[in-house]
Amino acid sequence: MLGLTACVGATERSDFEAEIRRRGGGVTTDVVSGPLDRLRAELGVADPELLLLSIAPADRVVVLDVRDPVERRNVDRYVSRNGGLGEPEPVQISAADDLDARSFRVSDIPALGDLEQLADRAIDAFGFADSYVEAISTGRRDNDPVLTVQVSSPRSEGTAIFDATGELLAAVPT
Amino acid sequence: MSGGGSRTPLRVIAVVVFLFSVTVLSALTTVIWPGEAKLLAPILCDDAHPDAYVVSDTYSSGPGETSTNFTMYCVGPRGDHRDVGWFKPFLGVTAINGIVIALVIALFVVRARIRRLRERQAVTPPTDPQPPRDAGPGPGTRPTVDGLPPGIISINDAVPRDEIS
Repeated sequence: MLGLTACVGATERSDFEAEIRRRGGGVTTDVVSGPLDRLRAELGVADPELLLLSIAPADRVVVLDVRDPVERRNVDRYVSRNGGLGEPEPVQISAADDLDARSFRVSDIPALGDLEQLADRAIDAFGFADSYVEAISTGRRDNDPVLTVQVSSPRSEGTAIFDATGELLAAVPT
Repeated sequence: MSGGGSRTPLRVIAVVVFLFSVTVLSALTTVIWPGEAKLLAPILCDDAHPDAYVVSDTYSSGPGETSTNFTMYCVGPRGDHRDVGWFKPFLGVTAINGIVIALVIALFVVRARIRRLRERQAVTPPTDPQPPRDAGPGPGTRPTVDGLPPGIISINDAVPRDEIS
């Protein structure tokens, strides 16, 4: 029996992940659009308010820190895996935190509606060989929401910063 | 007439044995050839994620032991992928194996029936009652010896002794 376990036609996990990276890292808009739709249904609001949105495209994991639409000092973390939406977990915040300054609405970042283009621009900005998008996250720059894209390759990595419309602001190799 | 009543349990048993055998065979074939599940890509994968991959995860399950899990993914051109799991692919592989085996069994059954039909046709006796002319004496006739009338063994017996003068 041991001799028969040839596993013909199967791919090792490491080879599969390498193939995902070779194809670009798995960045598609539905990675985030599906969880956002579920969030809207969960909260009963059309345009939820977020403090953080972080995407790991290869693992299909999205983390969202969301302001409670009713109790706006309450922040909950939702983790989405493979398009689903997990149960919310409370996030500790400081009493001095200015949530209004840190929060943004999904509609404030139109670039979230075309992540493919965002990923392509980030990869093109560096020109690394065999590069892929490792992570995408939101942030603030001069009080404006921005998107930060981590680009990696076997020999280099860098960070590309885009404004809310998807225009490249900076590309910084690390 | 008890023929139909006794056949039904046998048929049920035959179906159960067949299904069990196909399931066990599929469990073995998926260990040896897990890539067979990729044949189900047209059914389990959508147009946005058309490429099927069967990914193996091998881990240590104890001292000197390793276990392997299989997961099927449907992958799109940008590396986006859907986790299909292994239960549905295994069911699909079982269905494929079942159809193939059923077709092979049906082929053998049909061949056997055709052979039996031909043998029955060959055994049926001819319908003509008249025997051929040189086939020997027919029933009810007495054998002759050297052209002598029946009952005469030799020419000496042709005429009784007391009549010879």
